[in-house]
Amino acid sequence: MTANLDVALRQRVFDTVLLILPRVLGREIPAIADSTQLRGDLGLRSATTLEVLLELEDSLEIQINVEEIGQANMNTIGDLADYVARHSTKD
Amino acid sequence: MTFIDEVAVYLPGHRVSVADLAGQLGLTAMQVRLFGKFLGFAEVRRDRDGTLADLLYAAAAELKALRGREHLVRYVVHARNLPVVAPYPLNPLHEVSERLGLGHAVTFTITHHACATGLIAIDAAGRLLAADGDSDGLALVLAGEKAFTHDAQLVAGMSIFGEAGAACLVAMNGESDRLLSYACRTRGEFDGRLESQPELASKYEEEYPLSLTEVMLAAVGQAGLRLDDISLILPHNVNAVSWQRLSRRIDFPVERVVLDNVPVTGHAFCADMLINYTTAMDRGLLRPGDRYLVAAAGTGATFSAMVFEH
Repeated sequence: MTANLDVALRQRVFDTVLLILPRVLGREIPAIADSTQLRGDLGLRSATTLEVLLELEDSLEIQINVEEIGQANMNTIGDLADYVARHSTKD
Repeated sequence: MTFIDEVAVYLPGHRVSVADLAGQLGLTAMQVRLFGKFLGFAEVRRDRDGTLADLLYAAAAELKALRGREHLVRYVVHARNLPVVAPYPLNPLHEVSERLGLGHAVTFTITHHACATGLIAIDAAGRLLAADGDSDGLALVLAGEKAFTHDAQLVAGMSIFGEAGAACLVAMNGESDRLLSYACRTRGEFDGRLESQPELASKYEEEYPLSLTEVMLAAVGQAGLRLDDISLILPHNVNAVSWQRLSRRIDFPVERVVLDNVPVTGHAFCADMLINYTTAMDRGLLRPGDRYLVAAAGTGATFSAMVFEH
């Protein structure tokens, strides 16, 4: 786990989330940005967001520590990417 | 005054892992991992051959303080999540009462607070005893249910139910756990079927931590205390991650939230608080004079919290 923001990892997280979301949601998604709301714009529930994290772990071969994740980390895609980039370790 | 005289728990010996339940519950491999890694579930108990009456009786029969005092029991109350559990004219609660030698007691079920019903049952038992004015009178509160349908086994993406029995002897006086306060709020706008109503489910998820926090702090305040005075939280076992988030939200150390049983028993309907109480006792987490908070949420939705002094 790192408290510092790994910028390169953050970008990979963002790019990978774009690939994961249609599969997890079972539908195509509109163009998204850092500020896209996970709940409001995409209709993600908490459990679905956690599923996205599991998919990220598999795709990026990382382990994400979720013990510190809160609602503030799941508001937007940017928030989620920030959290993952700060709270993960390489497999 | 309402006191908890004694608590007893029965955990069936048969254990089933979440992975083994996947086929039956329609869980994908990813959802099994989700339940394990994030939500904190590993296995649940199943009383394969036992009935609901067997489950409740097994717990109540362990109450040492009940022996020889059966004649003092005025009420037998089942705190229940599921509104209907047996076809008429079967009545598992009457059966339990008879087997315990409590056929003389007034016997009824409280429901519609879903998994928060255990708290209102204890409160109601104490109020009934107080209204009767019989200082020796006792009430037996029972909790625990059979996970006999798909809906009684799973809340998708949130919780897995297990079978366990719990029994609690409520008295008007004593030296054990004294009820200091009870706060409860029902949010009827969340009545519905969350699995098939995504907008309702999303709104509920948003409101859940706010409303649960509200009643927890209300109960602490009604007891004339601050959160710093609370030594322990006995939660409902809906899952681990929601309590990790909530404890951070209220700045309460998660190590002092008794989450030991989430991976062991799953969410045992209204029995969680009593199961977690026995765990707290077994681990020596409660000392005389400690004040602790019990909290639960029930879909539908009811949020409840109680403060006790040990």
